[in-house]
Amino acid sequence: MQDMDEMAVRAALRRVVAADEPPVGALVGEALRAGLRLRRRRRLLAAGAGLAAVTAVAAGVPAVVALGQPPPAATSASSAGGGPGPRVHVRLPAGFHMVVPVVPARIPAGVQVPATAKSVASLLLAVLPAHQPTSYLAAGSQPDRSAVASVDVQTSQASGSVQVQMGQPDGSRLQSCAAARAADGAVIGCKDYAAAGGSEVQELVIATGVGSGNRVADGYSYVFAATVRRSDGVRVLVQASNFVPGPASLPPLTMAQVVTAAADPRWSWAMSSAFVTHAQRLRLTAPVPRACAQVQPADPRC
Amino acid sequence: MDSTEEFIEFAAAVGPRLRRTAYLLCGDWHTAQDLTQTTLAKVFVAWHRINSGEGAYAYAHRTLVNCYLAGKRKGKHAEFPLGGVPDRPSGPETTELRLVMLEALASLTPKARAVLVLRYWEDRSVDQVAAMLGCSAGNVKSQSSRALDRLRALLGDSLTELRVPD
Repeated sequence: MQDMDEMAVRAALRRVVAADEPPVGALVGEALRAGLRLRRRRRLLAAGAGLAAVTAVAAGVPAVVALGQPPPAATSASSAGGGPGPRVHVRLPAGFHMVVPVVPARIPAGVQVPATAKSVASLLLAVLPAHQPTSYLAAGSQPDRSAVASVDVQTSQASGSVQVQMGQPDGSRLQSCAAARAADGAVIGCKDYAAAGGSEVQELVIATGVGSGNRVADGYSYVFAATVRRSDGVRVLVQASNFVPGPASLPPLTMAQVVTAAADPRWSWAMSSAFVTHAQRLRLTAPVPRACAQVQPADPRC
Repeated sequence: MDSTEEFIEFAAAVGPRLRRTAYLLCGDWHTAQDLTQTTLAKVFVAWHRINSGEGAYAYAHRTLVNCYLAGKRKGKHAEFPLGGVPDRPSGPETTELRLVMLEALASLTPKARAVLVLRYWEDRSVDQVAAMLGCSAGNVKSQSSRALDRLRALLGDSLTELRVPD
C-alpha cells in the first residue's frame, strides 16, 4: 500500500510539473548578475578587514582607463606576476587630475546616539546624488571595527553598486599611493591630498576582471574609490563599481560624486537620534524607496 | 574554460530541473523562478570552493531547499497555488489533477513539503534528505509518512488512479 502510494505521488508530481511550465527565459544571465552582486557585497561586508577592502575587491586584470570615457582595449601584455591570467601595462591619461573640491554638508542637530548598520545604510542613500534609482540595500557592522553598507544604483548610463565603509577612529595615516599600487596591481590611478579641516583624502581607480580565471577578453569592472580620514580619526571609504563588465561600462557615480559622498561630515559613529530611529525601519536586501533615507514622518513603504 | 564559463554551463544544465523542484516546493512558477535565481546566485558565489559535477548539483539542491525554508520562516513568499492562471492551456484532467495536487501540497508544512518533494520528485534517499534538511532519518521517515497520509486523505480517488505506473 505504502509503495503504491509512493508510486502514485511520484506520478502526480511528474504530471504537476509537466503542465503549464513557462520558458526558463533569462534565468542563467539573471542568476549570474545576481551572483556577481552578491559576491561583491559579501566581500565588502565580510571585510571587517579595515579600509584595505578597497584593494581586496580588486583581484584581476589591470587595464588602461580614461575616466569619463569608455576604457580602451588592452594594448600590451607583460609577465603574469603571480596573478591569474595575463596582465597589461596600466596608466592614467597624462595630466589627468582626480582631485575634486570637498563641499561640507550640514550636520543634523539633536541628540546624538551610536550609529547602527541601518543608519549607515540610510545615510548612504541620503548622500547619493538625487534622482538615481536604488535597490537591494545591504548593511552590516562590527561596532568595534567598522560599519558597511551597499546599495545598487541605476543611472541612464550605468548600473552598479555603491558601498561605504566607516572605520573606527585610529591614529594611523592613510597608506601612500605607492603602497596602494604595490599592494594591488589592479590599482591604475591614485591621488592623495589634504583637504579642508585637516582631512586626508585618497582617490583610487581600480580595474578588475571577473571571476577567478580573469582574462582580458572578459572585460573589466571598474571601481572608483575615495577614502577620507578626518581629523578626528574616523575613516570613510566610498566606492562605486559597475556590474556588467564591458568596454562601455563605468560605475554609476563619477569620482567627484564618490569623493563628495565620502567627505560628508555626517559619517560618524554618533548620529542624530531621530535619524537612527527612522533608519531602523529600513528593510534591507530589497528595493528601497529613496524617501526612506530622509528623516521624515513614517513612510509605510519603508 | 574559466570558472565563470563553467558556472554558466552548469547553471544552464541544472537550471530547468532546479526550477521544477522549486515549483513543487512553492507552488507558483514566478516564485520558483526567483528561488532558482537566488539559488544559482549563491552557487556562483561558492563556485570556487564546491566541486563541479555531482557535488555542485547537490550543493545547489541543498541551497534551494534552504532558501525555500528560510523564505517560509520569514513569511516572505506568499503562495497562491489555486488562483494562478496557467501560462498556457492544458487538458481538463491535467488541470484538475494539478490543482488538487497543488492544494494538497500547500496543506503540508514547509518542511513536510520539502521532504515529500526531495523523496518522491528528486528520488533522494531518507539519509540524503536528512542530511539536506539537517534532521534525523527518523524525522524524515515520520514526516514522509504523515505527508503521504495527508495526500491520501486529500486526493482519495485521484491517488488511486495514479497508482498505475505511467
